[in-house]
Amino acid sequence: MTGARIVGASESPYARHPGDGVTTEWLLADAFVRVLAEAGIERGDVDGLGLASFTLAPDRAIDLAWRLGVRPRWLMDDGNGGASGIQLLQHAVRAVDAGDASTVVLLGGDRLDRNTFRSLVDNYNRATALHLASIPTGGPNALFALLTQRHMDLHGLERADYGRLVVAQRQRASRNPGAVYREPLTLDEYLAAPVIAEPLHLYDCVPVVSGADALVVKRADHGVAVAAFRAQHNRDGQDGDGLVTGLADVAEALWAAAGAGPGDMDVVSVYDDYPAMALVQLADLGIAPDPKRFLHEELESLALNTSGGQLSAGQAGAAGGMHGLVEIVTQLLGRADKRQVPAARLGVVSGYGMVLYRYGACANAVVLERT
Amino acid sequence: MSLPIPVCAACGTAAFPPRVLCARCGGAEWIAEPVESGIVEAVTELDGTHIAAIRTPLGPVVIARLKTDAHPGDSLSLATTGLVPVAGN
Repeated sequence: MTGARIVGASESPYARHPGDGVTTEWLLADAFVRVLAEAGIERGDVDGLGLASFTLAPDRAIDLAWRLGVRPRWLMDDGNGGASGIQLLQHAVRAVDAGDASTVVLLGGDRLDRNTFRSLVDNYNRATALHLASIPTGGPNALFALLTQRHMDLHGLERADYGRLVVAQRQRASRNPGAVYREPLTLDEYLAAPVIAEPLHLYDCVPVVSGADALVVKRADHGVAVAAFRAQHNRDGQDGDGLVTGLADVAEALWAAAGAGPGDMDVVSVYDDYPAMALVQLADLGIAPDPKRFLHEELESLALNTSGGQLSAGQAGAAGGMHGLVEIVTQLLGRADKRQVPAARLGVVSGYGMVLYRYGACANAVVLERT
Repeated sequence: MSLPIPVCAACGTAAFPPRVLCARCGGAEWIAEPVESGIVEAVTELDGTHIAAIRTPLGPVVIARLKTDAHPGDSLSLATTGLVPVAGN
């Protein structure tokens, strides 16, 4: 346990279709202003800034700091998508503990319209641009369709099994005014949705949105502490089947460092770009080793992806790596309003992503504790 | 008609997409080895394009555009369009 605490978490409301006047910079600024108010700190107190964004380019963290009127002595960019939020948090906690900064704001966000998203996924990295984009794979959709087939075969799952997760998360989203999809979804509606790439249909694919997320880390007695952090990226160098993430390699050490186990978690967030990957992370963390049993017997009793997850709230580009952190911190600070999990004290958040060629290369996790 | 797959000149480990240093031995010299066919592991279809994960005999699994309908277990010939693997006759 350290002296650094997360004392604020905010989200600039996600939107399925951003207005013409909305820019990435504006979304990040909105999240910044909101989190200062949430944490009760002044802009002049901020001396550290961390940024995760795909679409702010060519600007970087220093450009954003200047436009926000921040004079940082600690500055960091992390472009590693679904892993970026947890990585920025890891570094921010260490920076505050070491005295390199006293008050750090972490921001993640993107404005993604149809053309920007297409350009982003076609040029996600060189492996994609050179060997995948012209197939075309529709970004990651076709890749995770192939992965989900392997997952179905391995665990004897059918579409209706995955549907249970999607329907449950949508139910949770109904209590989150910030989610882009809040209306109830039935299993029949899930099954009847238009096909994207078999076995994936519309509600299996994370909706692309525009928005931004923010956290404040500073030295404080009360707030949310990072009890443990672990990461393992490039676990198998893309030579495996994608059905195990680096979390499987570090889960034991993560729980040992936290002094708690999977069963102790009051709230859980896993990176849900696709239902199969949410289930893989739950298995790797030791929370739900048997996905079929979990979906049929344990799903309702676990406070999982309480914002509705990205599958209902939306994926705002690199903000997706911070969305789960913001939700779990909000729960642990007791500020989750109608979706508050009573007396939540411990939570775990996992990050996953950066589809290198066939599946995500990055995986990390933090155990968070209210103090 | 074949798909060139880079193979480490020092230890023979194959990599696709190409790497700079061999993951196994650290070697930096690569020789393109032509691969003529592979086994389909999974197939899907997106906007009318048939796509498969295909295991090559050198080890790497490639994502390929299919010219024919295919099923898991099928053996398909491999070629390229530009740098993209294409499978089927």
